[in-house]
Amino acid sequence: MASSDKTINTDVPEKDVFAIHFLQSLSNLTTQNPFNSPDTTNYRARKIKKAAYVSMAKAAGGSSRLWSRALLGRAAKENNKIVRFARRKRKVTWKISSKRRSDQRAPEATDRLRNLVPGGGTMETSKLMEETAHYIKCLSMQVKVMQCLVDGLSPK
Amino acid sequence: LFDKNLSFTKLEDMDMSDKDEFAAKKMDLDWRISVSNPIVSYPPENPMPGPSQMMDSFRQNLWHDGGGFNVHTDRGTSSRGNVDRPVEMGWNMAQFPADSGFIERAAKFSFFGCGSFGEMMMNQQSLGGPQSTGLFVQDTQNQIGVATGSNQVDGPLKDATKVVKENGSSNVSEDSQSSGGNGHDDAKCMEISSKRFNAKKRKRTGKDSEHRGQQSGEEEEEDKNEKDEQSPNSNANKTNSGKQASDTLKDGYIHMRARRGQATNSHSLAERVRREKISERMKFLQDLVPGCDKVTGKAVMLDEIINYVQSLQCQIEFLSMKLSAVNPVLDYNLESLLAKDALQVPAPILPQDMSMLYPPLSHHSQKGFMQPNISSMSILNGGLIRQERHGYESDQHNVVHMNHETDTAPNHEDATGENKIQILSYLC
Repeated sequence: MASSDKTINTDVPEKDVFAIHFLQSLSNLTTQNPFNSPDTTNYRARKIKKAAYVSMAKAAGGSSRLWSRALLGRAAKENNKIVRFARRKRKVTWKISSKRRSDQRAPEATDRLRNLVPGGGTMETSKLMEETAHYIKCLSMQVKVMQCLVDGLSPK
Repeated sequence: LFDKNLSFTKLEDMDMSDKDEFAAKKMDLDWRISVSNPIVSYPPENPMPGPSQMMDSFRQNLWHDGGGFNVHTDRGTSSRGNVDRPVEMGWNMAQFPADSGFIERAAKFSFFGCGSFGEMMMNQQSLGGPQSTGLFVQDTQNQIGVATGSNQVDGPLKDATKVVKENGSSNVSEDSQSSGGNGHDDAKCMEISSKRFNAKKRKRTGKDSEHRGQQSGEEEEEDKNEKDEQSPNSNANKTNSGKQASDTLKDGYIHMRARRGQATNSHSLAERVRREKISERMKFLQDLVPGCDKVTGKAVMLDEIINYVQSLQCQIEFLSMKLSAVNPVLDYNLESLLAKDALQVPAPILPQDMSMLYPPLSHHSQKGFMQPNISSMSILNGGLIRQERHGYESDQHNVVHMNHETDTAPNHEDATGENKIQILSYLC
């Protein structure tokens, strides 16, 4: 499911890419936790979820998308690893200064969106919209992949 | 998208008989730029004609001297020659008496030429003559500073008086060919620092003092000469970043023309650019989110988008929990099976029947597929059996079919299930 706009480019790779990345991350997961299953299913579920997000970020954006970079950076921080991407030109200063000023504002819809989309805290609104669009596409792709996996693996 | 209607609508509002002619004509770069030239034609020793005569001669020279100060680079030499002329002009203008009527007319005229000044400066810079630019601008600023009286032209005059920019710091884009830059430059003129203006305001007669006073008070806040558009009237920070974000020319400014009946304030222009970008993206998102075609309005749309994103994230979480429940199947030595080359080179799809499981394994080893040990294979068989009991017959037909073409990579699958089964066959 790849589409592109004239001015906005929100191409998303095919399902296979997502699937491969996800399965690879899952295999990494299972090798990390050996055969004896970990404590609770909740723990495993969380691990799988994290793996899903990371694989999605890798498959879809790599380092060309703001949200994927933010996601991967966040995940790396959790594992106490540092991941560094090529530094883009960031117009952060204006945004941050305006943020501080408007801290008392009631949580607007855009602010809620910023909380949802990874890395949305220091983005312009127009950029935020772009990232949201791409993020939505990738999320839906990932959901499809996981759905198929679950369907394929679930015992009847 | 932006019609070519002029930002000089204020001109039409102004009751200027002289200006009507100007306004009626197409705003070409050439003749506007050549505002300076008719003045140049005055010999220095010429006694100052009356203001009306001067305006007539202005007009006259304007129409005739259309190509004098040509912007385009193909006439670079001629424009080079004209660069020095404005200095002359400055001296000329210094001789003009501060007639009140003339002041008013010149004021209106200077607003009118505001865009041209901006472009002239820009062209000067493009020619690489910053020194003369500064000089020229300085001298014209004298006159512009003088003539900022009338309240009619309050708004545009404010624009006009801020024409002067510090030497060398003019970053007005050099899109001389686009006449669409008119409104933009006009707006840009406004935010150009008017330090000269501030210096000259003391020379004014007292009638303008309060009007100027408030202006200067505002302008003194504007210390920056950059394109940051630190405006006294609006928090332009976001608009600045919005404007700087759009990158069409090498210095990164989008050319905007103010629409008819809309403010030509550079900040409002930038705000409009930003708002339109946001609405464009909202439309794009509307197509993406299912069931949002009837929704209109930014707020409701945003809520829908937020709900959708949240629902997708919840779905992922739910599916991950489900996956963890079925994960025991995946636990079996996944890495050994999910070897990288196995993924890249699609191994032959496992046949439908379990009995045929073992023979293809030898095929696998021949093809360089990783050789799983027997224990895992048995577990795999268990998994496979479980799978087969689901009744993926249709898929297995395809699987068998694919078995014949062993080297084809499954590039495109129509049904999602088949795709997954093939990948799963690696696992199981």
